[in-house]
Amino acid sequence: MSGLLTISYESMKKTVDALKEAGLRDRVKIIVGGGRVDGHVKHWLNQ
Amino acid sequence: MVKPIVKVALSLKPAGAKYAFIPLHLNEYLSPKIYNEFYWPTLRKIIVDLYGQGIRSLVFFEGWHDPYLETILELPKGWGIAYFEKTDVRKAKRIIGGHTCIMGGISPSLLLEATPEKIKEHVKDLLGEMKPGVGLILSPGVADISKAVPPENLRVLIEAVEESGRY
Repeated sequence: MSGLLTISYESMKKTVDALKEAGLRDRVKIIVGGGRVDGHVKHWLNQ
Repeated sequence: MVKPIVKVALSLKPAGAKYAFIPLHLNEYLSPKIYNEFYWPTLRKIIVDLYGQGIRSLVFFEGWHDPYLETILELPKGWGIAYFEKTDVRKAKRIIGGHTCIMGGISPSLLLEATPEKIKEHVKDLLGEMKPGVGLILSPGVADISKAVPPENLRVLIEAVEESGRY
């Protein structure tokens, strides 16, 4: 997922949560990047 | 490029405009060699020409501006404000402090993820280092705070600034 604006944070979280809810989280690797994405965002998405 | 840009910028001077806001876009894609040859001379001339007409510039240096920090010293002292998104303002102070006003310091992603304690600690350390001599315009790295940031974190941020920001 690409996050070029801070508005992307919420959508990325929704996507990760949706994968968890569907029971798919352990079957996929999620890569996030883009200008506004860093270690803090990665950590937050994992919570 | 310089003449039309400066002309447009100065057209608002009679209306009382004192600052020119110049948002840049991710110069980190340019090597210092390319930046210095093709990009910087034009931007420098615009800033200098505006300053000569009494207009200070607020330049938003999006991304990392680390490799080009020294070039800012080519501008006249007091030319304006360097607003850094990702360049550490503490590092910027070491190079351009006293020459250029520095703005920045709080990453929107930090506000998203950090605990209130970590935010308080960050502000205390940051202001502790930035206050002496030159000060800082404390600001989010980029003017956009996610809706997902806990309101508690914003409250703690403001409190921390009140606590650590006074002389």
